[in-house]
Amino acid sequence: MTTPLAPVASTRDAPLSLSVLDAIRRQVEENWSLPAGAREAHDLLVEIHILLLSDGTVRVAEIVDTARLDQPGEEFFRSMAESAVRAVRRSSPFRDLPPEKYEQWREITFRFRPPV
Amino acid sequence: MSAYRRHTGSFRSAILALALLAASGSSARAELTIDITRGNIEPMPIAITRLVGEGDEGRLGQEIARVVSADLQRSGLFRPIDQRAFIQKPEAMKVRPRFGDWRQINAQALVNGLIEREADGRVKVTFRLWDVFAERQLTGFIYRSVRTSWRRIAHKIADDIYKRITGELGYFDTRIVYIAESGPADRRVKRLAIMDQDGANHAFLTNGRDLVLTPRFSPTAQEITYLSYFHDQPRVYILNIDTGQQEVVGDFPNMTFAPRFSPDGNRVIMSLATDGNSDLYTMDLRTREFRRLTENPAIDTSPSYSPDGGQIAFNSDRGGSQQIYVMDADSKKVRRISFGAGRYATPVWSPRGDLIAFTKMHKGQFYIGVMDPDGKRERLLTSGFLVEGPTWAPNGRVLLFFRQSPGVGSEEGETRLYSIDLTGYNERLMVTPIDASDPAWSPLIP
Repeated sequence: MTTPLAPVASTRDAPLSLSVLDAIRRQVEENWSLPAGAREAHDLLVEIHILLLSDGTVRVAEIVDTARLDQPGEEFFRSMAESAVRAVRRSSPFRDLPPEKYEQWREITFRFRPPV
Repeated sequence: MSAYRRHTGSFRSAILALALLAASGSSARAELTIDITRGNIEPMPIAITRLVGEGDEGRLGQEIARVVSADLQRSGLFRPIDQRAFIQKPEAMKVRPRFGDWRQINAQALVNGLIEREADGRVKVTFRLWDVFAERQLTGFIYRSVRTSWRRIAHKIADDIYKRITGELGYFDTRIVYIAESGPADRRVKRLAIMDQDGANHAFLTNGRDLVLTPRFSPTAQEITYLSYFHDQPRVYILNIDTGQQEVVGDFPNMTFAPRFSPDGNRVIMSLATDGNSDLYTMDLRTREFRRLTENPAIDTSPSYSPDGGQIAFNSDRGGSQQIYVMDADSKKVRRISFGAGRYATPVWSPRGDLIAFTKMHKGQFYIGVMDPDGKRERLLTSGFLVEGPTWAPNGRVLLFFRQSPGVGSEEGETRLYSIDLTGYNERLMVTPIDASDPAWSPLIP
């Protein structure tokens, strides 16, 4: 008689591997055209919140801090935020995402910071 | 390029985010956070279509698109896409662009517009800038002007695009004055010359009979101040570029150097030498009154105001070697800011106030660099046999300077103007008809 093995735990709940995270990040970085003067912009942080379809297509890409967009003196924040949205949209569709872990990557917040 | 290699932090925060996620249970909605701290510094691909118009207007519309493209391309921040790659015809975009057509050729931004002839013979130019990915208009303007000013319309459009995309002021609707040089070294003819920022509309402003030196723009008006020798006496002049009106500010019995305007345009600051010792003075342009700023046995020269007028950068050998100092305009307190190896000269305060450009000489090599006003973060942007005379574009992101190449035998090397941006990467020759030195960049033309 053979004893049936207990089913292997689904990999669905295992965290995303570093290589998956790295691939997502690299895709965005390749598509991000740094705005002029980004090197001078210390302490600037732009958050972009995105929703992905199961095929990796970007369905929604939103700037989190919208209140800051149209304020006078925030022109540089705005251009950086817009360049960040373009980077995310140009990255669509995201490749090499594990379909069984869709719930884990369907919603991502990217935190864009200019290089120091 | 080490600036683009900092990504360990992003791993860590991603791991942290996942750890929190795991701790909160598998049913929780994933809130994945990924840090993006690197990007590419490739120029942004932009599609600039010809402005649509009838007959002559249509031809002018193509010329305007060409000048806009050239401006943006020279900035190093944009890569205009070859018009032959365009899928959608400019005429078909009257209502709204078909963004898919522009994404297909990798355009991130798109410019289109119309050009029409008005009843009074002027031209009316309407242009729009679109974000191809967000599928929305970023900006748009209407310009009206006489036909002959079409290049200025093009530069203004380029400035609008630059400003909207980068968040910084543009610098295309500007002019450059410089010293045009010709003839052998012992009988050098130096004339004041002017041209648009892109080299167009070149003209000589003086006839070359008298030696002219150090032209400097007023920050507030289309005026320049310069030094000229009249009967071997240095004279400070102010010239209004639009009217051609020239005014003698004063004759100076002693050596005078490098007059420069104060930020409000009401004073000129310069160095005057008496008994071989040079100190800094200001002169009120209305009252012609002098004020002495430094009284030091050392040689103090090349003063340049901070844009708020509160401080003055200059160079001095009071500490032994030539270095850059900053003086508080009210208290006259002076502190040294340059401490690197070599000699430092010609400090020029950025119009944004955040940097001071300078020339540095070290071991037989010349450098153009920038540092923070407190002397920190010195960065050398370019170097050569002789590079000198930095002047800022009005947005404080680009510098113009002159470069002399080493001569061959008794022959002097040629001297040319170059621009370079703060990244130090985008160095470009500015085409001039003859040798060129000591440039000065105008503010944006009102």
